[in-house]
Amino acid sequence: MVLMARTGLALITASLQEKLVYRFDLIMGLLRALIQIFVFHQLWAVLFTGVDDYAGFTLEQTQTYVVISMSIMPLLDRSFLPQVNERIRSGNIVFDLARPVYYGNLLLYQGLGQFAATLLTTSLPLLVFSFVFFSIAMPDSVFTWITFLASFCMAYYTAFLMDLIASLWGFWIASVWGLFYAKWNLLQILGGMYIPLWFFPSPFKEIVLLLPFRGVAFTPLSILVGGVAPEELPMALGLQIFWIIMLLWFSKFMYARVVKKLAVQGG
Amino acid sequence: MLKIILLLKWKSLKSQLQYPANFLIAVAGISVIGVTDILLILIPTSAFETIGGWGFWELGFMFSLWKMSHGIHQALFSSFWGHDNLVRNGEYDRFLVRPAHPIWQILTSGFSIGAITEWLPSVTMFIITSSQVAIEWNVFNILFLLIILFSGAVIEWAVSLFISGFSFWFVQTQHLRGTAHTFLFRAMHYPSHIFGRAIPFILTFVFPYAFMSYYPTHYFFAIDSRIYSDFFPYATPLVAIIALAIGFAFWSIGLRNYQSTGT
Amino acid sequence: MIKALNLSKEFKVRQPGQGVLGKLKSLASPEYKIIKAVDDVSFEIQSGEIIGYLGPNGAGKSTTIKLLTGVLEPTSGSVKVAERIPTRDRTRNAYEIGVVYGQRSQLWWDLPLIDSFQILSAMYKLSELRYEENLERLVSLLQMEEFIDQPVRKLSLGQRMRGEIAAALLHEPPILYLDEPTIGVDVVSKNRILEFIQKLNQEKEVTVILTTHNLADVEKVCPRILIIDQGRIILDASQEQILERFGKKRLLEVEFEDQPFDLTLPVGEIVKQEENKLWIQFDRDQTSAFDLVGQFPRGRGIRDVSITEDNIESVIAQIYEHGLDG
Repeated sequence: MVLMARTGLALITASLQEKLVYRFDLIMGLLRALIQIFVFHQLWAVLFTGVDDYAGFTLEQTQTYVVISMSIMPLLDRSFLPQVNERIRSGNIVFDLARPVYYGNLLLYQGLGQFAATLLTTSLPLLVFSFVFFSIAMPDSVFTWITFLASFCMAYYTAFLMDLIASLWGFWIASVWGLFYAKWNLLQILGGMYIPLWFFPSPFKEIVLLLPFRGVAFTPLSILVGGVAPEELPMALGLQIFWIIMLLWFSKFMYARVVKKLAVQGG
Repeated sequence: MLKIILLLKWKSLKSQLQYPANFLIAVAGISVIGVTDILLILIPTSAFETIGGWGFWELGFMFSLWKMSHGIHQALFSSFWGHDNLVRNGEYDRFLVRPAHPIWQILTSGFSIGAITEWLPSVTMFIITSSQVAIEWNVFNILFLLIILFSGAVIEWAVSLFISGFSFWFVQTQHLRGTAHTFLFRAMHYPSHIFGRAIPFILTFVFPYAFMSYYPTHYFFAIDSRIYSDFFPYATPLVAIIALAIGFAFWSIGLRNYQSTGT
Repeated sequence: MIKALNLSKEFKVRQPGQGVLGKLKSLASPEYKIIKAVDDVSFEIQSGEIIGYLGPNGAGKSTTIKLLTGVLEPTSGSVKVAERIPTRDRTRNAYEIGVVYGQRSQLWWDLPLIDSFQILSAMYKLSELRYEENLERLVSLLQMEEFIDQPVRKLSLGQRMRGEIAAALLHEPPILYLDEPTIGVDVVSKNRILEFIQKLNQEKEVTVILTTHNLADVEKVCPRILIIDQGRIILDASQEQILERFGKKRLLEVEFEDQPFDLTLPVGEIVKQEENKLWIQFDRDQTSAFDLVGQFPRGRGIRDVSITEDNIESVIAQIYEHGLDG
């Protein structure tokens, strides 16, 4: 346990230092996120002109949703997974698989280090900035905060599993770049990062609500802005759990196939 | 020189087709993105009818102009996206010992799959949306359309070239490029005039992407520009020339700095 | 053919701060250090020469090559290649030179090797006929038949390097710069490359400048050697001259019938003693092996004697280590 904590701390400081080395890049990254926040904040302001609410959702709720979404979504963007693909191509992956730790967990620890670094250098500054310059409404109920945090943890894990599965495809597809790009864009739209799913037209909305993508952004964010009624909460969280189990099973299945493939081919 | 570029693109395409499965998955993957793009327009307009006074078809038409221009950019000019690496890996040491101008050599240095993936979604979008908006097509219109599309690609490239100039001084410029790309990939779905003052200013005078689709759309709809000048709907080719001149000049200064300091 | 006169190149290097505080400080007020990568270098290379350009890591070899090829502009001094200033007349100069960088590729990574040649042929505006002729000659000389249709990324290092050299020579430049062309290349390919360079030089009178760490390569193909250290040319001489001047040390190895004994010699120096063997180093100007053996006390049975002479490799290694006076 102590060992794990120490390893974790080392990973976090390593990621943090890496970010601080390229300060110019870091600042430009923040600027970029701010532009994005501003664009979508403004879009909803224009759309809600002269309209009080859409299907019960107000402008303030929607703006809070997109501002928080764009502040915390960088936390889910993992840059190390293309490196996994690189290790597969170079064949060095056999060394990773030979370690005593399950490779998926190894990646998760690395990812958590990045998570902490991104939180400190990107998300927190963005949130502070947004609180000062935009009108956003935070929930005052402790219960909402707790369910949000629980849902966000599951969102993180869902996104992680999707990335893991995408990178495991690298054993069969020479370049998974297109797959990553498509996946990230699907998450942005069908996950509801830019546009809350409640604006989606029926029956498209009902279908999208059943897919795993919503668990990455829409579920925690709509809980936070009070878009989920208490009686809908078990369903929303249950669906997140369901998809985590499915994705976990699928990733383990693919992992087993990969290990078998490597054993047969010898890498 | 054009001969070399076409020769290279053709050969690259041929070599990509050696792995058809891989190639098709990549093409399909990026075409999926083409679909998600249109959702960014479709969903808000299905809920609120219009954005800044324009409905889905108008916005779709505007976006398809941008996307076709972007497709030309991807086919011809996208190798500048990796300019950081070209400098960092010392590729200029090889560009500078060959007779062709380094810019030609960079244009022939690679092949992006985006050269093909943008075309199917964007042309489809254009055909569908242009039949839904009131445009009277004549020879002059069509000629202007072609000029606009190519000029738009040049504008996108000019910005990219300008940003490339920075990599002769700084190690990492990805996020600077990313900032431009945020405007390019997130603000082009919507009419510039909804964004208040700062963003239209940037899209007109800093990264003049609004000339790729927003202003020309006014010309095709035969309406006056809501922001800045009524001349802007016609200005795209001129802006392309000016932007390219500025981008090229800055990049050249960067290269000269590289040659004298060897960063 | 190539003239460098008082050539210098300085780089301004930003001093990175130490630790977090130092880094912040260097951000506010950066400190620069000026490094003289090439410092007042002059030499002249005649048409048809093969030059070995040597020096330890960071001595200024690559910078010199970049100055000669026109990639970098000199801080002061001048370069003239075939009466032209490379940086001012970059395009014309490019037709005169071929450059191979051992560490990086000028070929198109994903395309078959032959495609790279075709693209380069278009870039150098070769006529169809000239391209066909040159390609055929290079393919047969460098024995590239079996892999010319393979994508470059699939080639072995030796194969790729042969491809790189062919690519640099397709337009028949009178000058060829080779920067570490044999690094990591297998013995067979390496010998093939070296033989090719000699042949090229003899038949086409191509001027070759070869920088390398591999001194054996230099010994094989370069009659004239330039050594650079800390930005300055410390030696410019032919192989014979170098051996004449520095290769005076010889090593005499004597094996006796039984245990050795205390021995004092007027000249020469005992450098090693082991069981019944003795190694004596001497200067061939001062004495000879014959005289040395004659000085051993009589009655001591000598079983075997051998003499090792300095070669260019060991001489240059000595110069690297001890400088010119060592």
